[in-house]
Amino acid sequence: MSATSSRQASGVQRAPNPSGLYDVLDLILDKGLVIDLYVRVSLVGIELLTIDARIVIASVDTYLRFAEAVNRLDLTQQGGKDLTEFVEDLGSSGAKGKTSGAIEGAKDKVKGAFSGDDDDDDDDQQEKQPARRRRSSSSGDGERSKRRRSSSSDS
Amino acid sequence: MSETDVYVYGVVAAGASAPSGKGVEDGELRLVEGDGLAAVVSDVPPGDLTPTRQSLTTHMEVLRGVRETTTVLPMRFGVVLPDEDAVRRELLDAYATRLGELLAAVEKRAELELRATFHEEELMRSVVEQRPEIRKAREALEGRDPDGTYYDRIQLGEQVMGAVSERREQLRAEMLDALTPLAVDVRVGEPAHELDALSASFLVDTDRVDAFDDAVQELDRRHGDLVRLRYFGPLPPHSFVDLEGDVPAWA
Repeated sequence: MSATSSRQASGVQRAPNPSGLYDVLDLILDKGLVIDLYVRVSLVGIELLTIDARIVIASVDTYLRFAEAVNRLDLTQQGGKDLTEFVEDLGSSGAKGKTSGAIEGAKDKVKGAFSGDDDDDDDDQQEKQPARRRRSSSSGDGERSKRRRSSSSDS
Repeated sequence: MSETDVYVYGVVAAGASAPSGKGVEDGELRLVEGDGLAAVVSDVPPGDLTPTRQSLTTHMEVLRGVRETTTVLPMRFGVVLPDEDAVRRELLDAYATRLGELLAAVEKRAELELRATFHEEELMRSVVEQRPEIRKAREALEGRDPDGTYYDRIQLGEQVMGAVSERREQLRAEMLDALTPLAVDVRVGEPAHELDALSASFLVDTDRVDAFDDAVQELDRRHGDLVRLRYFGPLPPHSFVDLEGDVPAWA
């Protein structure tokens, strides 16, 4: 996701369905018709995902990460459009390594949570609860955003 | 108590052809017909559903399949009623008027999703180019011991964050200006990650999908260096249906 060169000559393609887990969750766990009383989803995985996988936007960690990212820039390479080589040189040790590392970490957590295998853990903590999810509201963007997952997952 | 519960995927007009294939937990898909409306359902074992990647994907795929032959109002993942009678009573009858209105309103319309994520490298570069004070702060830190510059770095990062937010707003406005006129309605999500630039759902008339595609391509040509776009659809109108609240103006 860091590479200028990653852009396809053919442009962006419209896919029939979202494939990244975050995009899928965003679409069908947050949106659509719902009757609160009859939602039967085990919250174990979902809460993990929505709380832990969401990368807090304004935090000291983010500031430090941005400072590092901006410090890492090689400004002698001011080409703008012709950075292909420079970017490729960075490879996985540069900006890309850091960012996708964080995202991969979150993804792993999600995958763990979504394995559906909760028998081996402490059952008291993993107790399933019937979900009482707030009802869908077309004006509920604020609420919805709290549940929005990182949408930066690479495919 | 029945031995199985009934999982609901979506609502269609009565008389729609029955879906075939398997749903979540391998139950056979079928229709539960009510008065003028029908629900696409399958049986599931009683108890809570664990949202696995497979069950989530199945929910989405079933709806996509149904959408290919008829207009469908999608349910959120995980709506389960005790039996067919409950599906008729609590969903189809209880919300008959609303469901009918929505079905008519979203006919020949599709949801398209667009996500834009900044390329970090290019984002930082544009920020440094546009903000002399960030460039200066950066130069002041060069070669200094990281331990001694902790607060300076936080301050620099905060400045970068401010510039990124500004860049995001700019880009977001530009993209929405280009796409909103082609859509019936739009829902914009808040960024969930500092590199998110845009997360938006558009309700688009089916005969304008091609024009919308072109507009997205144009945005990619213009901004592809700075953001990576993810674009998907046509989907059932997940973001534009609701059992409560005001009926949308376009309905």
